Amino acid sequence: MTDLSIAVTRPEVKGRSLWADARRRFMHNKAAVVGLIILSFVTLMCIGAPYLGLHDPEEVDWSLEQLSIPPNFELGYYFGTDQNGRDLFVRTLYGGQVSLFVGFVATMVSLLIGTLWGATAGFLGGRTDGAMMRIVDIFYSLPFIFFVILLSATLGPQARQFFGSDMVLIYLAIGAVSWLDMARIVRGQTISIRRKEFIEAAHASGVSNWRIITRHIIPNCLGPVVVYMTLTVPAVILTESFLSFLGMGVQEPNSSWGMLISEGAKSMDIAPWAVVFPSAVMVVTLLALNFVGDGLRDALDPKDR
Amino acid sequence: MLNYTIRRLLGAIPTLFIIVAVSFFMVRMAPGGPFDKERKVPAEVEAKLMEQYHLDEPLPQQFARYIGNLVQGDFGPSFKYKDFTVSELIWLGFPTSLALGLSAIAIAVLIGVTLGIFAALRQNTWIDYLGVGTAMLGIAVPNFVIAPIMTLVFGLMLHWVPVGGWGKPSNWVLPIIALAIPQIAAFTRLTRASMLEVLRSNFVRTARAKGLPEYITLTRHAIRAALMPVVSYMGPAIANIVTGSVIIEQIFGIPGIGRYFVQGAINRDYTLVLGVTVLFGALVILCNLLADICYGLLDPKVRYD
Repeated sequence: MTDLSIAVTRPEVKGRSLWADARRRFMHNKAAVVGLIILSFVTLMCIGAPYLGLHDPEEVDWSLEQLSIPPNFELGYYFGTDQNGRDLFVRTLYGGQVSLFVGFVATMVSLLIGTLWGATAGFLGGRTDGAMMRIVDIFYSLPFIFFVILLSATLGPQARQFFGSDMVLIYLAIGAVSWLDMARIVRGQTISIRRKEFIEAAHASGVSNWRIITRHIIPNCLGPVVVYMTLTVPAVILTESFLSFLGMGVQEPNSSWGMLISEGAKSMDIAPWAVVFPSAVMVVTLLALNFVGDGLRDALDPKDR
Repeated sequence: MLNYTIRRLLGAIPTLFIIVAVSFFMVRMAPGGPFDKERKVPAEVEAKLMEQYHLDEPLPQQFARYIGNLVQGDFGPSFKYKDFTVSELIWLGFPTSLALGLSAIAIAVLIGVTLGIFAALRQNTWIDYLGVGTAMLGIAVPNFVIAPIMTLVFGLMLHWVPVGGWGKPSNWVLPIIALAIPQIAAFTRLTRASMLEVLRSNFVRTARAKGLPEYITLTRHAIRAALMPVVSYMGPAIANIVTGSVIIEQIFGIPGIGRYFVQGAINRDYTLVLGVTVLFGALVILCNLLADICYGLLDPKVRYD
């Protein structure tokens, strides 16, 4: 009797959840934490750009002795001005809003399509699975960037009228391109998890389906998906910049990092800062995103215990 | 093996057909005809033009005609460069693009694989950090940032290479390097990871245990096995080089097909864009196929029959 009462009154041992473990591991990864800090800083600066008391991104400063001046802290032009006499710092931040937003939205599009496609294929299995993944294989071997260029070159003007903005087409085009890997990853996860012993064990010990899905399948699927998402964002930002660089992505008066780099590269012999600063900000952000993604992968990979 | 090759070749045909079909209908569904941009032509002249280019026929018939011509190697007339057919334009640009791409891929493999192997052999030394750093930078610094920055540093500041122009051998240096860097990064990362794995494997331990000299262990056992992922990455690498060449040719003003593609997309030269997309698609499919076949020939674990 006494033994039992001790056992009952003993405080419950607090188990470490998968996510707490992952968080601890992530926090031990210096590169990932620094990446996360830089990323948060850049994001906050971009979002908060209108409230920082900076110059207007469209305002041309006619008081300068030449339109394009190098960085000048007294006048508040931290990155200098572009060839039209506009503040490059604030333009870089506004461009960052667009680039980051495109990265986020297109990743969501790819997440939605990829997860649905992959989970359906993996769950149904058999012939349906074969056919669905064959389609993915075919898409995979297409040079997709050319389709994106084709799409924005041929349907761009129409889409701009239809949606009232040129951005929607870019989200859709890039998102539609980047869902393939996500579909493969989710399918692989679904299949491998469905047949794992711990699922069987859970079944055998009478755990309900709902609890198996929430406690076992989703957390095990989520790791790779989250990791892959963080790695999709920089890839999408790159694709968008690639298009904007060629003049087929974001259109004036909007700007994005790719567009700023493209504009800066044109006048680089007289105003090198116009290409250096936007490039640097973009590269630092992409590096940070990649470090965060790698850190998450290491933190969430259960094989690594 | 022969069986597998034939099966894969036959499998490539539907993929290629999808590429042609998708790009053809995408281009045809674009608003505005190819003659819209010019001075308003009289209705009967336009009708005559439409008839000459077979644009007055129903779409399926046009598509059948296009496929029929394509099989005979005829990409149709260019809408923009009136005196040229698309095939002629492609033949004008292709040798340049091919030379550029092949040099870039050769350099990428050479440097990337060497760096990857040494990084793995000397893990956690300066050469490893150089390898990891290169790999990371290559992901985050795209072609269109590398190219202007290199022009700025090596052309405008150091005067090592000419900034503009085309024709001299020294004009080739920057484009090739700019095209190769992202792939150097990819090959380094891949080789390093696979080499690290191989070095820990049982057969390398066995080779060492039986007293083989270290260099024989490495050259005859470890490196051979470690290069397998590199072989299978060749297909995607070539696809990436092709994509990159579009940007690089645009930046450096190189008269290759990548440039024609971008100009064609901007000028709405639909047949040219269509032709280049089909050509690139075929190229990418072919490279993937070759990489897969090489993989099968090289890896004793793979049996297709």
